[in-house]
Amino acid sequence: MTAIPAIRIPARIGWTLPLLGAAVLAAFFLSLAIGSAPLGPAAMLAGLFGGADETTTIIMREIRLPRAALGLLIGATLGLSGSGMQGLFRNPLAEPGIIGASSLAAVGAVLALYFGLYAAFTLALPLCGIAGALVAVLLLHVIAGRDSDVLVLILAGVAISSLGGALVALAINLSASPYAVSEIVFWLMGSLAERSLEHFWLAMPFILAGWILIASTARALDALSLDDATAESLGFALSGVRLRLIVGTALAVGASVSVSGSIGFVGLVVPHLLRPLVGHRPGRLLPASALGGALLLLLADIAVRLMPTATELRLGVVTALVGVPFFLMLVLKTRRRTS
Amino acid sequence: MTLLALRNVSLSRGGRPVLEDIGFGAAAGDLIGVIGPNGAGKSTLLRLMAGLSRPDRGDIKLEDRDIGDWPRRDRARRIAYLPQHPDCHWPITVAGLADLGRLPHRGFWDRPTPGDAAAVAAALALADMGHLADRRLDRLSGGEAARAHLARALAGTPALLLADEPVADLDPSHALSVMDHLRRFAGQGGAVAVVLHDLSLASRYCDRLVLLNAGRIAAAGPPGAVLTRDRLADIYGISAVHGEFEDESYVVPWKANGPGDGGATP
Repeated sequence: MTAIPAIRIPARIGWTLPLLGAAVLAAFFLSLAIGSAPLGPAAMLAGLFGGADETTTIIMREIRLPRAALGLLIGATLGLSGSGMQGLFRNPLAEPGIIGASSLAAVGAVLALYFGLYAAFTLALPLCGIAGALVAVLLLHVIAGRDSDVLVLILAGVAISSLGGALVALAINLSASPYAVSEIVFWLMGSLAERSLEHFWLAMPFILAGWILIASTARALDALSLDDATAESLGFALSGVRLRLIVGTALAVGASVSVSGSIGFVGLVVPHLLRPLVGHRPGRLLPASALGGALLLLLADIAVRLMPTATELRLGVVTALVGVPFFLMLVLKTRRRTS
Repeated sequence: MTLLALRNVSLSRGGRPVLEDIGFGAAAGDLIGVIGPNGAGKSTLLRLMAGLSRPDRGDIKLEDRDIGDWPRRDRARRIAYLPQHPDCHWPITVAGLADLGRLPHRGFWDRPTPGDAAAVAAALALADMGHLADRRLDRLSGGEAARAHLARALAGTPALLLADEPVADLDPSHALSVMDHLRRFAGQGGAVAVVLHDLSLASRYCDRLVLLNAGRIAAAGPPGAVLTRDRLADIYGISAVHGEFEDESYVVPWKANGPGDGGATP
């Protein structure tokens, strides 16, 4: 063979990742800078690293830092697990929320609140959340099977989410004290406000373990662009890949939801927006979506603080309000393509 | 040396035998056609050869070592599998698709090397897809898509290519060109086992045919020896025209025989 033309394998992500990374950093610092008390950069740094007065230190370390750090962690989780689920199900409509993982994670957490386990034992909330998410993902796997088509996937997710909604309603219904009810309801709306660094450290090990599991499937997700037999013939053990993705998503999303409450649609929107920028390759989409998810959640959390509403809007409310129209648009686009 | 050797291979599904006592081998340079009526077990056989499922009895040896004992990735570097209706779920580019064939050669942290790029380029050239390398898959015709998937299979520089009806949905010119590409790959020292329904293509292009019927090998050998009038009548229930053109012999199925109408030939 002579003179083979040079082939450009679309291998580089180019500027996508560095730009996203820089934007995430900027959003992180912006999140630290925004709040009711006006603090200059010097005061912020002093508040974080010591040397400031007590009020500034408390504002920075106990109010703003946990909020920004959780935004980073949970946003990245939602983006990463969303792109992982879309790759696994080969379906741009999959996301941790839509397949019911967040919903059952919420049920787990609500049960922890309902039975007062949370007060007795701090790890109970994330652990129950993770258990709920695991149940959801396994249910989905059983119902929809491996080569799920869009309809079965969405219906199974709807069923699981409805089950979650019903169980949460049941918990509220049976709740004796109005205090427990309002605790559950507020928690369900999803927010990063009034969380402490303890929440961060509690959720982080589970979330990190989930990230590692999901990220380890990057190559396999590329292979899963093709059918199962071909992916297997490329040297991947698919049962193991599915298990890692399911358990990883349950761990990371379960722990996230246990800390922040339900924050929907980030995992759907972000992979979809970024997919064209990484040449539609599922493996490369993972890091990009993690960064994109962190960016979107940090920005949304900044937005709820800046909105001139009487009470601060809950983050989960805002992402759903923005996410639902986007989701409908996606459904319409898919329908147009298939008809 | 025999690259892949099957001996006494049998497989049952739900108590029903699907393959029984299959034995043959593939060596470098072979272009083997696996033929037989619908439901004869061709695709199942190909999946066994790819190591995607295990036989109940008998053994399948890749380079003298049981195929089940090979680490997945090492096996994946030697055997490429092209399924019946290859499909890619995301609109990646042709070069991106071909690059998926390099996955068995790449560790988790490895970036594509010049070697990967060269293998992808060679595979695209072999499948006549070099000029469409940057085209997205959702903007290809059926024939181009089939060749793109062929390039994906070849990009892994396999020793053995297993292709399940790669020409099933193609118009004659694309079907002929895919068969030409398979022949070219075999000519460069590759081994090919290809499931075919088209007896004319099978008789023309393959060095050897394995004729399956109801899970058993009814005949194996050079096309001329396998595709006899009697066998075509017995197994396919057809009469065919046998001929020669430009030093190649061909078979054209001509007429479906009615029941009890065994040996009639035109």
